[in-house]
Amino acid sequence: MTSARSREVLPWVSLIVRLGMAGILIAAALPKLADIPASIRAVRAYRLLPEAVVPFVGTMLPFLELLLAAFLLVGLFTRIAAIVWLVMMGAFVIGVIWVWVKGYSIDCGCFGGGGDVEEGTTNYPLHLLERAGFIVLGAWLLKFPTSRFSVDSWMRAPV
Amino acid sequence: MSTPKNERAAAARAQAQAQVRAKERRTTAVIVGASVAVLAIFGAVIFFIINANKVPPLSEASAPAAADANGGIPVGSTGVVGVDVPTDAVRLDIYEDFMCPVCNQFEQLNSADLDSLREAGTIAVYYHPISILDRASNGTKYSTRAANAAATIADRAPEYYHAFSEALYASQPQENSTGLDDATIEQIALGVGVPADVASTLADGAFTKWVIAATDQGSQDGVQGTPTIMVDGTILQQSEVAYFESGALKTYLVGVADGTA
Repeated sequence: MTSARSREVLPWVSLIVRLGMAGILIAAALPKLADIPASIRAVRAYRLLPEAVVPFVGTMLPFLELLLAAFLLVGLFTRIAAIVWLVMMGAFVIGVIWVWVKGYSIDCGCFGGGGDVEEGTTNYPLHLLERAGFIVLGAWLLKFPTSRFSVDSWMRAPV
Repeated sequence: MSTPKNERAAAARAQAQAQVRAKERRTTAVIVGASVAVLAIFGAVIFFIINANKVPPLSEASAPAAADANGGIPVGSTGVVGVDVPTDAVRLDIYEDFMCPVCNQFEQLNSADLDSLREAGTIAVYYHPISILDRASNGTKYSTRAANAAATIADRAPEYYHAFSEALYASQPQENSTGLDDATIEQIALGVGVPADVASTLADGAFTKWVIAATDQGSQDGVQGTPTIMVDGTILQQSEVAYFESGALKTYLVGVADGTA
């Protein structure tokens, strides 16, 4: 691909990546908002955070996801949004590895639900693969934050 | 090709103006973006505070008369809540959600065994009707409504708690249906003998906050799903005792009671 052509194509790819990430975040946040106590229990199930902060984290998580989704949707501060996304995904990966190493049988609660599940029905490798895909999306946007139809490009436009 | 002086000056002026406009746009975007972020986080914190105050900790919730500090409803040897509950017997805690099909299986498989052990005074049974499957009833929160109904009966018609609980499992709705409506729950209560003046109060939600608090307490006590079985306060894993095999739980409990398990 010539660099002139990639300059044309990359912003379109970044647009798709950006909207995809926003969609993933909204899909993750809505079930949690509908059942905040379940979100709190899902956070608790990781047995990673002290009880004092578990209800706060469980309540705030869907709001933070929606906030990040809003910035990605309009394409404002795209590079910072990509960094926040990567930090969040890093935390989730640590969580999944933690429960895997500890031998807990839990549902990740990523898209609502959560808590322990029957032994043998957890699928940590698949979760981590999914997470890896999400990290690739974030890394792409970090490398190529310029996208079509974004507030970022509107505010940098020469005219 | 040479450009006249005034044209070059005009171009420079236009560029300077464009830069000023771009800077203004940047400032606007930063202000709007930062305001949205701050307001959203502020709103979420307010929501958290309101939400945390809405449901009291279990110790402060108004609980069914005989319920204990862990949210357990003890059924005594005569089948009445809070009456003739042995204190020196093996303590069995059963955490169940009325929407949970696996709990229904557990009940079908073990309830006769557990009833006979309880009636013999070998075990003390504490039922925990918790609500972790509210998401599975299309927004009608069947788990919470059913658990509140059970808690209300435990408090106001304690001799019918056990029969009502079994009857709810017998007519368990499908997961991801709307669940049983309040009128049907009332009919089920009347059907097992609950007095009409109690059955008519089931929909009032007198113990809804207690159910939510007891569910959270269960989660803090290590309950991550339903059914969860605790023997003398310790969660019993299926890898230790295969309690979905007929008679396995009874054999184990008898063993614990006479010190051989």
